Amino acid sequence: MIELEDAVAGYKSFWLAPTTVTFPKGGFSALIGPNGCGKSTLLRMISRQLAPRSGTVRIGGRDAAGLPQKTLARQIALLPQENIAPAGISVADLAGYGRAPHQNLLGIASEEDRMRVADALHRMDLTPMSQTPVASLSGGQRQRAFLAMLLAQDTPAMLLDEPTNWLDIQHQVQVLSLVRGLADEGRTCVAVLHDIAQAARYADHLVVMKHGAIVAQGAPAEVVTAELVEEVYELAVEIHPDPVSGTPVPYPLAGRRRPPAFAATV
Amino acid sequence: MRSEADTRRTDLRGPVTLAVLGTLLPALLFAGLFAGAVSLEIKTVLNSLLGLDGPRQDFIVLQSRLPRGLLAALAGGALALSGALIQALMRNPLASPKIVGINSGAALAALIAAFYIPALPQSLMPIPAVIGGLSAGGLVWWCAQKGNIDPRHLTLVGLAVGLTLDAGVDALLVANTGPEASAPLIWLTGSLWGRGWIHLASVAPILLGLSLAALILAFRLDLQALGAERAASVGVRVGLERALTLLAAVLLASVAVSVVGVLGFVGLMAPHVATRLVGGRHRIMLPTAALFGAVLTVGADTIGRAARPPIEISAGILTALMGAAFFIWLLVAEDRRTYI
Repeated sequence: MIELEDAVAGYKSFWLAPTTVTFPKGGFSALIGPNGCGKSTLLRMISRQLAPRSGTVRIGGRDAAGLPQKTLARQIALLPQENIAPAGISVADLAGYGRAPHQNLLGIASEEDRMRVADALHRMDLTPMSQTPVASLSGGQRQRAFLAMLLAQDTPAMLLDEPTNWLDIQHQVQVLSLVRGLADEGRTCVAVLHDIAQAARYADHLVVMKHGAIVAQGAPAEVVTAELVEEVYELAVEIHPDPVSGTPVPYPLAGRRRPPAFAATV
Repeated sequence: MRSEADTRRTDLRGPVTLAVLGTLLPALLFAGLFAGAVSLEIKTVLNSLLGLDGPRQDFIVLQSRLPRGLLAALAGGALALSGALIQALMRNPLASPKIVGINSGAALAALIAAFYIPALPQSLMPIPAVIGGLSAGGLVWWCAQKGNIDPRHLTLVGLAVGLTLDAGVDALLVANTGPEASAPLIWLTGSLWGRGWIHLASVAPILLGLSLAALILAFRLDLQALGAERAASVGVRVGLERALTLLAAVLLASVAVSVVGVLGFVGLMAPHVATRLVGGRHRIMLPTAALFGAVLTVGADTIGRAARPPIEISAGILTALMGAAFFIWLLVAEDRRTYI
C-alpha cells in the first residue's frame, strides 16, 4: 500500500498541489490525465527521486523519507519513461541489475537471484534473447528487457511510467495483463497510461490528474464519464462499453470523418 | 540458434582477452629492457635481471629501463581506468579525463609548480597535479550541480573547462620555455623520459590502491550507467556514488599525468576497446581496459625508444597513432548497432 498525505513536490516551474491519495495493496491503479499534468512528477515523488517538500509518503506503512536507499529499493521499483541501455550489456545482465537491492555492494548473484532473473526473462518472452546486447534490440524488445529488470527486482510496490510505450498491440496486452497479474498477487501497482480504454479495462482504480492535482479517482465505471473527459482533456466524447470487457471506452466526437460508405461515393 | 553461439562467446571472450593482454604486458615489459640508446645482449639483460654472474648492465636495465616500463604500465592502466569511470559517470562515449579537463588541470598545476617552485622534488609532483585535477573536476561538478545539468551534457562543461586550462598551459609554456629548457614540453606530450624508481614509488601505492577499489566496486558502475533514476530505484545513492566515482577518476588521471604527462588518448579509447572486446560489465571491462591501457603505453614507450635511438618518440604520440588505428579498425569491423 502506498499512502500520500498532503505531499508536495515539484521543480522550479511546476509544482504538484498538496496530494492525499491511497494506492491500495493488491490493486492496479492507473494514473491518467493530459500531457504535463504531473503524472510522472507524482511517480517521481512516490519513488523518492524527488523529495517531497512537505507532507508524507508512506510505503507499506513506513515513512519513505527515513528509509535507507537500499531498503526503499526492496519495497518499491520504478520503470522510468526514458530508459538508458548501456553499451555491451546483455538482456540477462540488465535483468540481473534488478537484483541489486537484494545483493551486497559487490553484486554477486545467488542461486535465488539467477532463478528470479530466469523467471523474469521467461515472463517477458526474452529467454531466447537473454545473451543479446540490449542496445541492439528494437524499441519494444528493449522496453520488455527493462520490464524484466523490474520483475527481477521483485518488490511489493511497482511504479510504471508509460509501460506500454514502444510496444506493439500484442505486447501492450501482455504487459497490461502482467501488471494485472502482479496486482492480483498482492502487489501495489501504479502505472501511468495514456489510453483511457486500456486503463479502464485492466486497472481497478483510476486516478485522474489535471494541472498538478488529482481531480477524480475511483473504479473505472464511475470515473470514466463524458463530463470528466470533457473537463480534463477538453474533448467532447461519447462513452460506450467495450464490447469484450464491458468497461467504458471514450469515443471523441470532434474531427469526425463521414462514414466510409458515404465518403467512397464522393 | 543464435543464442547458443552468443552464450559461448560471452563466456569465453573475457578470460581469453585477459589472458592475451596479461601475457602481452610482461612480454612487452621484457622487450622494453632492450630498447634504447644502448643496445644490449639478451644474456646481459638476464644476468642483471636475475642477479647472475657474467656481463651485466645493472644501471641501464634495473635503474633506467625497468622502472620506466613499470611506470608506463601503471600510468597507462590508471588513465584507462579513469576514462572508464568517467564514461560510466557521464554516460557519454566521448567523455574521458582529457576531454573533461582533468588532465589539463593536472598539467597546468604541475607546470606552475615546476616553473615557480623549482625546489619541489620530482617525487612530489603528484601533489600539485592532484590539486589541479581536483580543481578542474570540482569545477565541472559544481557547474553540474548549480545548473542541474544532465550528466550527458556535463562533457560539454568539461570541454569548456579543459580548453580554458589548455590555454593556461600554452601561455605558461610560451612564457617559460626556451630552446634549452624543453623538458616540460616533452613531458606534456606524454613522455617517460628520465623516469625512475623514485617516481614509481611516489605514485604506485595510490594508483594500485585506487585501481583495486575501482575493480571491487565495478558492479556499482554498472548500475550508475543505467542513469540516475533507474540507479536510484535499485538502491544506488546516486549523489554519493557519483561523487566518489569522479573523485577516484580525478585522482587516477592526475597522478598518472604527473609522471607521464598528457597521454590523452588512452583514457578515451581504452574503455571503448575493452567494451568491444569483452562487453560492458565493468567487472570484466575495467581490468581489460586497464590492461589494454598498460599494454598500449608500454608498447608505445618501447617502440618510441627502439625506433631511432638515441632519439625518443614520446609515448603520447605513439599511443595516439597506434591506438587510433586499432580503434578505427574495431569500429569498422563490428556491428555498430550493438554499442554507442
